[in-house]
Amino acid sequence: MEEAQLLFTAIKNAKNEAEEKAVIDAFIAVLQRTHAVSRGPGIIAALEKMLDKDAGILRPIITTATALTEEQATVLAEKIQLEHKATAVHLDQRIDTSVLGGMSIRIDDMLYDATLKKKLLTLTNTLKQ
Amino acid sequence: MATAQKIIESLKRELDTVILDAKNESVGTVLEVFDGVVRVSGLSTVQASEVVTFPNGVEGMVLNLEADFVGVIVLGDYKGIKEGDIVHKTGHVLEIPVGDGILGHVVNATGAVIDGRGDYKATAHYPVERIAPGVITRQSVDQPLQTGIKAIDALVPIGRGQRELIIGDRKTGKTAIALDTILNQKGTGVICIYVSIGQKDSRLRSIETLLRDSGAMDYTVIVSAGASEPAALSYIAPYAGSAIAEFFMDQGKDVLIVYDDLSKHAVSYREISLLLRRPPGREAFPGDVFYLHSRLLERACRRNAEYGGGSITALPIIETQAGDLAAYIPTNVISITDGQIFLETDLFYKGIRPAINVGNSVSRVGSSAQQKAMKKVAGTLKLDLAQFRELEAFSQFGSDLDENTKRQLERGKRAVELLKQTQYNPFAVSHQVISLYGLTKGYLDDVPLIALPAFQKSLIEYVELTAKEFIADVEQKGMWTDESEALLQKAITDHKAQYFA
Repeated sequence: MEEAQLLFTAIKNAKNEAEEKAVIDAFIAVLQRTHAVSRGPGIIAALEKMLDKDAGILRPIITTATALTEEQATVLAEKIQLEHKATAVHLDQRIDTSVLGGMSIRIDDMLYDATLKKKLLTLTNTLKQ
Repeated sequence: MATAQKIIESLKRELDTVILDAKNESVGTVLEVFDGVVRVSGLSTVQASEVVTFPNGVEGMVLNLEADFVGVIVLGDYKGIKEGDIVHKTGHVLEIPVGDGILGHVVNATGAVIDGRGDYKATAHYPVERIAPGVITRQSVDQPLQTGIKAIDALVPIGRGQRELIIGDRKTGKTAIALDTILNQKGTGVICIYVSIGQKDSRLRSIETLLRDSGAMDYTVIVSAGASEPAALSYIAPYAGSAIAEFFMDQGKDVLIVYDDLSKHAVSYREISLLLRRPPGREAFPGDVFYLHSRLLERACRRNAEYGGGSITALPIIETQAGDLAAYIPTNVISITDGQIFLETDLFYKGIRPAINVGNSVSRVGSSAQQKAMKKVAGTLKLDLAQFRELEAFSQFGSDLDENTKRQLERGKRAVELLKQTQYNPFAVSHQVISLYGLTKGYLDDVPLIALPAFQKSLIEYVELTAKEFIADVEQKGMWTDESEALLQKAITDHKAQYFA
């Protein structure tokens, strides 16, 4: 998103918190003046992704059939952090019973699907062929 | 239970080969769903024209690659797709399964059989979008493709590898010409593909029945994207038809492909483009609507022997509104093709069928493919007919006409009458030559106009019996000899004497 990219550049170029605040105020003013306030959340979401990427923060979406234990979540976060050389990993855990077992990890548009549902689907398709 | 044991073992063996290990794959998320068009975020490594799959098993094709999202057309039912669905990339472009067994089937734009006559065995997969053969592989059009319609074979001849547009208003007989041409390919080895775009299913069914009843489905494939199907399928149907044609051409065969019709194809592309928010231009068509048809029709060609021979002859159909040839899509396709057959409503309702307007119809390359015999008898026919139309208009102002003008008018009337032809009644080339020989040499000048159709029929039957050499010469050598010509002249004179005795 072009607006988010411009906002990101402006924030990055800000020398202190006061300048950052001035950039954000100017951004809000532009949205109001151009009657584009409704686009604000989309731009902020895109900006959040850019700031995360810049800071090396990952927010993988973990889908499992049952909730992970705290220990499992910590081990998984460490593994992902090591694999992707991230500074921090914040897991977004989701429960979906339809996956049956195993887990899927989604980071941006990359998906590592090791669920039982996916394996059964692969098996079905292979047998069909 | 040795059999059960065998089955279990075979299943185990098969299961051992299945790779179930998870791997990283690029996916996207559905953002918005329009009528058959979906916007997807993610899919950062997807290519243009790549196939993607939705969770309900339906496939889609990537058309727009934008900074933040990807525009995908859905090749099937899009009703099950919802916001947030995960979209998987497949890594391959859209392909259609092809094989010799496809002949006789009605398939949809993705190659699935829809006539309930069982599946066919696919021996290969051909890309739906393919770059047209280059100049090195081509050769000029030099072999005729007989339509069996006298007016076309004589005046606007079509050669193998040519693109000849059939254009006219609604209900002027455009499809009839295409179907007659398909019927006339029986026994010639030409493979026919009829691509039906946005037509009513009832109409398609009657076309299929006609072709099946006439035995034409043995060498024909129907590719259908019906009026009730999504625009995306109408958009890819002609390209899918072309891919099937290329499969047969690669075997060195001659193929005839009919696109019925490209006006509806352009309309479906307009719908997709507007939903993808591409900028609209004239008549709200997108800027690349010319390329849409030029890249399709460029795939029709005649390949030289070094590259395996074979040809694809294309008969695109365009429907005009109130005879307006200067509309956007008609002018585009006229400029792409190697000629056009223009059909007129007025002629149709005057009873002149096929309602070909000889003045506006042209074949730019077909004359070099025309048989010598046909060229000889039809050489001046177009000019004679043009003069007749002029004289006919002029003669309405007065009754005092000189003998020469009267003779020209009578000859013209006979030419018009002789070029009339009923539907599904294709004429063999030798029969056409007999009729036109009689006309141009003046043998029919004293035959009453009203008796001409019946006389023509009986004359052909008589010549078949008494001047077989003439027919054999025309069919096999493409030209008569002095001896066979004398036989024909005698046959015509004798038959005329007997017929009017």
